[in-house]
Amino acid sequence: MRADLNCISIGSNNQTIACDNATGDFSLQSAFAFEPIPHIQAIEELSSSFDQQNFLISQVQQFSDLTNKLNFTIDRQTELMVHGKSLITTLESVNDTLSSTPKGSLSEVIIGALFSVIAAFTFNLIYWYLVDKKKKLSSSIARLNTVLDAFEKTATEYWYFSYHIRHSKSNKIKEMKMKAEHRILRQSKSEIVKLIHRKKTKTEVDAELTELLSSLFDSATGGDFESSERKEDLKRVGEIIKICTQIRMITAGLNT
Amino acid sequence: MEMSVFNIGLQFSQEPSGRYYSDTNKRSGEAFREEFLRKELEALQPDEKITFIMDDGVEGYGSSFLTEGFAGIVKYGYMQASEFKRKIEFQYSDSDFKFYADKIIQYISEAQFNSKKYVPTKPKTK
Repeated sequence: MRADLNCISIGSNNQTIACDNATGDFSLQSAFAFEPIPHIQAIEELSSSFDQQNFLISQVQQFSDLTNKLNFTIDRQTELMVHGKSLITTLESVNDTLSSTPKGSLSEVIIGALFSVIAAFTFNLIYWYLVDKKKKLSSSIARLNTVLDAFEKTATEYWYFSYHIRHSKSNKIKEMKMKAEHRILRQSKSEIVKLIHRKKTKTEVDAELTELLSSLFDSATGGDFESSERKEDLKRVGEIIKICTQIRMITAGLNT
Repeated sequence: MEMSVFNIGLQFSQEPSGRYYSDTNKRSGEAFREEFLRKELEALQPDEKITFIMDDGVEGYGSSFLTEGFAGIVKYGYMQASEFKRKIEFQYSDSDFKFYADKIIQYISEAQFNSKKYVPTKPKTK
């Protein structure tokens, strides 16, 4: 039996008679069966449609991403092309400058080159001339100081002791040494003055050294020089040491 | 102007040294002045000069010799410094001897005329 109700049928009730093998009793069994409903099918279709739509949306999104990336790449390439063109223009300009011949005639170019060579040569010549002069000056000053040391030692020893007949020979040697060494000092002074570069310094140093050497001559070979009556003269010893030191100070100033 | 020449190395000594006779006898400044220079100066004509050759065989001079030999002329009153300087000249081949010539002029200029009485130191010969 099937009940008809004023409602939406969602299924059917199937009844069957069953006989128990043991007891032999009969029984009525009902089984309810669902039937497909159009609404549910619609919902399923709608759901399926949503799934498809979602899939399409994701596809569109991916496509949009790809488009953006492509645009970025195209922009970069355009920018690089612009820079490349600028670089090529610059390189062409450099190439033109380097490969082109100088303006002016060939003779002007040769004269210019020749002048540069002469200028470089002259500068080199002057530089080494000055270096050589400086070395010679140092050498001459060293020679003067060596002779000055010897003169100072001889003169101070000579005047520190009175004349004694027992030392007459050594005294004679000292007298001859003092005269000879003073001559060498004067010659060394002339060499040094010649090697001084600045005219003002040359004049000043010449005047100062000439004056000092003149005073040294008076002190060392004056008084009872070469006399058998000579007494020790400590004042004269002091003068000789003082003058020698003044000469050393002047030459030291030149050597710096 | 006439010119007289005196070669110190040849006519006096190649080793002029010392101040007085008592120091080096015939080579001293005193000997040079008294035995040679005074006589040469006295023999000069009024407008005549004497030239001293300084470096012929001579190695050098000491201040004591130059002072006594040349400036002694003024110091002992034999001649005024200005007149003496006018009458003498120096000659040398070695330019270094200019120093001695300059020193002689300096000593003559600094000497006081007739400021000292001359007392000979020459030993008396027997």
